[in-house]
Amino acid sequence: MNLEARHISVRLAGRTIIKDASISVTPGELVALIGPNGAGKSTFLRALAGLLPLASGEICPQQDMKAYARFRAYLGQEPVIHWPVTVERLVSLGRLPHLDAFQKPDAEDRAAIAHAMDVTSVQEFADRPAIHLSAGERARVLLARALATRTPYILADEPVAALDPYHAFGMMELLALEAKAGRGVLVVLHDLNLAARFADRLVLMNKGKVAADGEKDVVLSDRMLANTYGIKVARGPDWLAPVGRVANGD
Amino acid sequence: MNTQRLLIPILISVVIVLSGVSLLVGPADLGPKDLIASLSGTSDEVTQTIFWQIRLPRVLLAFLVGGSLGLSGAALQGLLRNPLAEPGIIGVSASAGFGAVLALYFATFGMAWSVSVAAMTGALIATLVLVFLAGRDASVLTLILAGVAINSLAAALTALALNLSPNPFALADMVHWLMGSFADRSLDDVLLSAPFILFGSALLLTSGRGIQALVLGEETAQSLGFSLLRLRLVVIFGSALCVGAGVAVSGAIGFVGLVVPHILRPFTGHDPARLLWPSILGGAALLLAADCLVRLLPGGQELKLGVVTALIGAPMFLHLIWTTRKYMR
Repeated sequence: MNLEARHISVRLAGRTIIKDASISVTPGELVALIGPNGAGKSTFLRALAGLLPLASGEICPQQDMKAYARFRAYLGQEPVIHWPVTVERLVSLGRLPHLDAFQKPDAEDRAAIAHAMDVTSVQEFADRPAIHLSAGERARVLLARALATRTPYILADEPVAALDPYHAFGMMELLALEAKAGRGVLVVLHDLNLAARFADRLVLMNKGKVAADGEKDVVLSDRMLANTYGIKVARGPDWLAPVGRVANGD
Repeated sequence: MNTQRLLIPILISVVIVLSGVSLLVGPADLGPKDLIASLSGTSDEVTQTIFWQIRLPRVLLAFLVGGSLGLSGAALQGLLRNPLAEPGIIGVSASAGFGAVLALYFATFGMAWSVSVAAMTGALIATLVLVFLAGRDASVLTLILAGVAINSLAAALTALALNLSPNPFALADMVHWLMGSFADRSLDDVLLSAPFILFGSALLLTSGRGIQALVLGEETAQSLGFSLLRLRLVVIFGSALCVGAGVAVSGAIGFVGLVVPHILRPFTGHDPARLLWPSILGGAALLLAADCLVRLLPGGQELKLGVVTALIGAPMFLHLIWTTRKYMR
């Protein structure tokens, strides 16, 4: 089943942040959501995650909160950790959508937690408080939490924002692996090179609308980047770099 | 891991031992044999009365009030993600006290439950205001400032009611009662408060999964399928019932909800859900011990329970502010 937004609009504090935007993500696909600051990427992602009321349009599939929690995992931007719980306990929170109020975790839950910790290589600090880890380690732990939910879809809001290039690559490789394993992954990225390298498809947002949706050659064309980001770029075989601003970036 | 598994059995043993001690302590000299005889109904009438009407209510109240205050503290701390949230500090107890004073002031005699209802209403209003003010962000400062404001307002209104009191004896009664005590409470008092406290506690215990999800913040908790509105209402109503009914029967006993979860938290792996049951037992144990202490201390007058818990709790509160401000705003 695809994860879709059909012509949605979102109003926050009296302002229309998202205007008539649509997107569809299929299983096994890594889609990067890009766009300049204030384009509405994060809001769009949160709306897709079912965390915001829609002014119009719809999210498919339409499910109640608990069922939708088992359909998509949401990894927020710089999520906070409020108590010094251990890494293992934190990852196990990913099983909450599968548990009733007083139900104990069973073998399937434990297997999901162990697997999530394995693929993200956080087993080695399973017993340490998550708040004491480095930014790179913490990002992997939070990804493990999302993976432990075993949802068909993962929505991640700038999961590499606080990471150095080495750890950013590591994070993207993990997400790409999850896509290869059959999940649909939608990830908000600021780094155009990471987006071009890892995403199967790019969705470019500008001023609350979807400006382009497709292969990287189309979405990251000179004209498109000039119109949305307002930048001129230089290109190599598998990289691009901003070299200046265009005079009248639309 | 071992300490986590042993925590509940240890706390249960402590509570049982303290209950026994509490039944034995008092001006009348009752031995273990007298207790058993009273339970089986074979002792003389005086001993029966002392056991059923004086000693047992104290133990039951320590259980109900201590347990539910510990639980309310743990649940509020989980909801607000803040180790300083506590019914006494954030003004819920004081507001409940004001509600009760108001009911006493208008002297609705013959309707004992009116004091409970008024106290619970006061507690509910204070908790709603507080969560509205401090619910969105987990800042220590916002919470404490909101608590100071609510506490001051409740204290001012209570002082006003006392000030306008026409009868000096009623005034002394109210002041004494506000200090918090289990002395001279009957089994009827226990039965009056028990349903509210038990229902409130049951509500709070259902919040476990939700406050566990809140470890990752409100947005992630929502994404895990929890309704924040529902969770807030459950904790607000649950703690208002517990604190209101508790204050109505025993006056304001502060700091239990602060001290108990703070001591027990490391033994639960800092998991806010796993802290709930131990906090009930710890709260009961703390008030059982404090209630024995006030009877054992030498001196003409029995100390007020609320005074003792405040003397233990206030320094710990200062210590907590000192340690939490390092990692919280």
